[in-house]
Amino acid sequence: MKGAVMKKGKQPRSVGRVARDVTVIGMALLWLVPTWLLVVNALTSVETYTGSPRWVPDGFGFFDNLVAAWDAGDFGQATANSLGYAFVCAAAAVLVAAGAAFAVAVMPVRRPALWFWLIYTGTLLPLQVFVRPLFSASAELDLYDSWTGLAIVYTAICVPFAFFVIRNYLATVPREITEAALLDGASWWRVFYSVHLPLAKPAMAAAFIFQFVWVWNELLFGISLTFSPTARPIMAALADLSSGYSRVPPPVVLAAALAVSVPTVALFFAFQRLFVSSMRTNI
Amino acid sequence: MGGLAEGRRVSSTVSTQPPVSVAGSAAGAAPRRRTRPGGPRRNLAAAAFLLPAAALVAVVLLVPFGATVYRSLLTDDLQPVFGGLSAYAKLLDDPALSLSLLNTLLWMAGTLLLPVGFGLAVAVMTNAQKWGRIARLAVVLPYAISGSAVAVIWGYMLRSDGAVNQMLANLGLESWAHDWLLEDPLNTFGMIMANTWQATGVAVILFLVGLQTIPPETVEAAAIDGADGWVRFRHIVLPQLRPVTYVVVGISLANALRTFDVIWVMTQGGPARTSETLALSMYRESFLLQRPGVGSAIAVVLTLIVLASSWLYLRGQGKAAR
Amino acid sequence: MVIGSMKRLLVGGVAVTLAVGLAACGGGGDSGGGAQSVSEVTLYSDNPQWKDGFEKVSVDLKKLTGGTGITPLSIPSTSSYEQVIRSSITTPKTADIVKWWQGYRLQDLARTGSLTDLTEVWDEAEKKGWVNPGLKDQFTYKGKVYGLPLSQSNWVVYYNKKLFAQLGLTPPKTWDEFLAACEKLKGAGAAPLWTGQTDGWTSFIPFEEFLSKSDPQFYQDVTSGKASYTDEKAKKALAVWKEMIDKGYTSKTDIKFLDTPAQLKAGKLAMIPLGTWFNGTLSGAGLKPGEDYGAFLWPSINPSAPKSVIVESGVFAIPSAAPHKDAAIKVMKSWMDPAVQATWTEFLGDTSANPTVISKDPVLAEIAAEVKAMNPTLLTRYWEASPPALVEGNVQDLGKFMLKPEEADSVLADMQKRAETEWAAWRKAGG
Repeated sequence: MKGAVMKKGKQPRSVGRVARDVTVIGMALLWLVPTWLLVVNALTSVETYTGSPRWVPDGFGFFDNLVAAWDAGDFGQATANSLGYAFVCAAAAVLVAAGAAFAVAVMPVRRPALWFWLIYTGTLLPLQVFVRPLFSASAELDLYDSWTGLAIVYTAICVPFAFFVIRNYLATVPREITEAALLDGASWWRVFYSVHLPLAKPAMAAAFIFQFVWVWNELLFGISLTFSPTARPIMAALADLSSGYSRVPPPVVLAAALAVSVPTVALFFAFQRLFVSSMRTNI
Repeated sequence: MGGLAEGRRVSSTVSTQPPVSVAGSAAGAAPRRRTRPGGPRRNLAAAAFLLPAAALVAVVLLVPFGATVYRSLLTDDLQPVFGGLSAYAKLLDDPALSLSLLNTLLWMAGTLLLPVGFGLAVAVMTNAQKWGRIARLAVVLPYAISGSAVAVIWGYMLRSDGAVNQMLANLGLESWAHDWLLEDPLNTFGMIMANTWQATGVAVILFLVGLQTIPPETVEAAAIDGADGWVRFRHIVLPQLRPVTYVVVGISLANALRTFDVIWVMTQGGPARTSETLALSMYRESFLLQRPGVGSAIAVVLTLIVLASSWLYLRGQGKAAR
Repeated sequence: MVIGSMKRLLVGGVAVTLAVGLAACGGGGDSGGGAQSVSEVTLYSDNPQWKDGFEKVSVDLKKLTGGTGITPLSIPSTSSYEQVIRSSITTPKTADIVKWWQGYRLQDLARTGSLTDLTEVWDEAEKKGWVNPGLKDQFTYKGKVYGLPLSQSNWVVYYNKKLFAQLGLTPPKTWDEFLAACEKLKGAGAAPLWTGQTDGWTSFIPFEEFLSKSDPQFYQDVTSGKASYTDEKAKKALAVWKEMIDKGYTSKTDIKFLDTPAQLKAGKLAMIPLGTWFNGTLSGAGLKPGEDYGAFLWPSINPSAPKSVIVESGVFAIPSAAPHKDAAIKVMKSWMDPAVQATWTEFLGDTSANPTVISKDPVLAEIAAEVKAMNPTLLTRYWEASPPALVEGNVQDLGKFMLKPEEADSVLADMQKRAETEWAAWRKAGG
């Protein structure tokens, strides 16, 4: 049945399809312009940089730039810290959010809308307002400048968005499935674990990626709630290079920024196939 | 393993459903049939699922926000005293804040139209070709790059000696060149573009996830019936993407109103506060001018705007889907 | 399959976390001791790149203090730094020494009662000739000194030496020479003078220079709230600036100051007006002091006006709640010592506030000698010369002027209006 549809050759090459292909290629090229500038200028050596963007690389200064960045910032420990933050906080947030999403979308809880808004509101608040209260609270609880303290904050900030994504995904699951499982005598835990969790995989993976990337790239709380090398995240190390007093020229900052993006880019590649739809028909 | 098998069975069940009824409601406001009568065990189970998330959000986010609301009622003297709504009254006096509000609305409109529209287009149009994956990656990758690098790169793009003006000059369009970061409102538009460049990836991924919930059979059946691409998209795919569209729009709305880093690094809200948004105004008052009362009041107003617009959108769409 | 890869990611994540946790515990072992005599006091700053310098200075300090050195910690964003210091300064979580800013910014912190009185330390240093007495006002609030200078940056004009030589130019001594140089540089295709505003604060630089080089007394009066921004003298300063904009002597204003060294090197920019703290950044971009670039003091616009130089200095202050306050005071007593200052300012690439310490850098040494010979009035930088809220607002107005120089009068009127409001607020709060 699928094979019949897969024979795309049968469709005539319509004006619409050409227009679509041109649009896609045009957009991809437009999107690549800034990416290209990023790469080329990260490759530019400090000696040949003139203070204006370059379009073509002049020499290969990338590794010299990386060495200069490594000397100026404390990247080793910060990378380890941030890998921990990103994995642990994103995973914990996704799991916690999946549970709550299941309760709100599938279980017959009272006032699901109230619970929904209680959790979802967390994603709507401007983050800058939290710095001062969270600083005082973490100082009081002796969590200031500790890995655990920052991890708790990251996890909490990640929950609402993950919850929203997973909840709306679970809302598309027909209720009949839940009912059938319950009639078979399954407990709610069992229903969650063997029916909805596997179904929500793509949504959970998307939420995990978003939260991983968010935590990895987070700077504001990283520099407000930690001081010591044992707790500081990677973006704080990157910010060390580009602070207002920096003696590090822009190509070095860009080279470091590019190197620091490797884990998140790798994550996208790793999860790429997860998002390929089973729909094979042209639109 | 059992889970996976069941999962497969489930997805074939899904495909027998008519598409629109799958959509459900966005905000959980739609009435839900009670499958079982309430009981202590069910409540306990529900609490176990809900509490970790609710507690984390309440303690780390909602309580500090409550503190902010309280702070907005105090004055900005060295020894703050209760000032009622005086901080809010000061907001009305400042002409820079009305421009800031206008910019915030521009960001809102720009973020709703661009990343959502481009995201949908890329997700849907790159689904079929082999090379589509590469095109998609080009659009998604900027999302992985840190905010500071994005700001540096877009500084390169928009500066008066930057890439955009260079490209225009090469195309013989010198007269179109502008000082993108200095002219109001071009600076706001330019930074919305920078944000679009980075944020479209989120929408693409979310829409791809949404496309997976669409049973291929429904689209293919229409294709066999001879419906052309646009008709299939408009009448079959788009309605089934509704649940994920809520997510994308809801997230874009929240992010638009909270945008901070890009503006802060590129223009600091200048020149003369013309590219400031409410998030920056709040930061400025609280931390640069040391007026935490006024800053907190802006934060409260900003939150109310985000909350109200999200609520209207999600609630309205929920009704439409019913 | 996908679940599998997620599991692997999770396991990896947990492993990393454990490793980090263990490392943290291991590190905690030596710093947790605390109870014995203090061998290190903590110093917080907003400049991560000072770390090596502090470590070098710490060696000198230990010799002088009988074993107390400094442990530097930093926050890389100035606004986050200010926020953290302000929220922590009254708690035991604060540092022993904090870096701050001079003038009204120091007063702003001192008037909350959260800083230690360092008058004795200052007087002792002054008696030994270790600190320039002309700087004292900038560290004083209601008769008491609350900080020591981190350095003494004179505000100068950096210039591209090779470009100047090519065009047969020498550092201008008079305003007319300066304008003539601008004309020649412009003809050679370079932007003569960098003026910027996308960094937020840099728009005050031309203003303070054009104002103070016309009438230093008026600059002091207007920044201390005694004179009006709508005065003819202020209008004249903006007219000087407008003329430079109209003649094309100023650069585009969207060049960030961290991009200026590369542009100076490439000959796109000819002159950069900044403090001598920028010396280190210029050499970091690969420019050689005395060879690729030089510096000169701003010539007076009004030849009959007294000579003046804008000076700027970071501040080291001790919170009242500092955990090791006595040790911190001991460290501050040795801070201005010539041995310490020599190590520190050589690392910094800037001038010491201790006049007995002479810089090895040819550009800095020349400027320091020139300042000494000229004996100018030392003026506080605009950023610290008025209450912070007033400066932050006026900097925005000056940004507007840079784009619309024809609106000078309305810009000055706005600045004056703000000055009235903010001075009232400052005085009401006990200033």
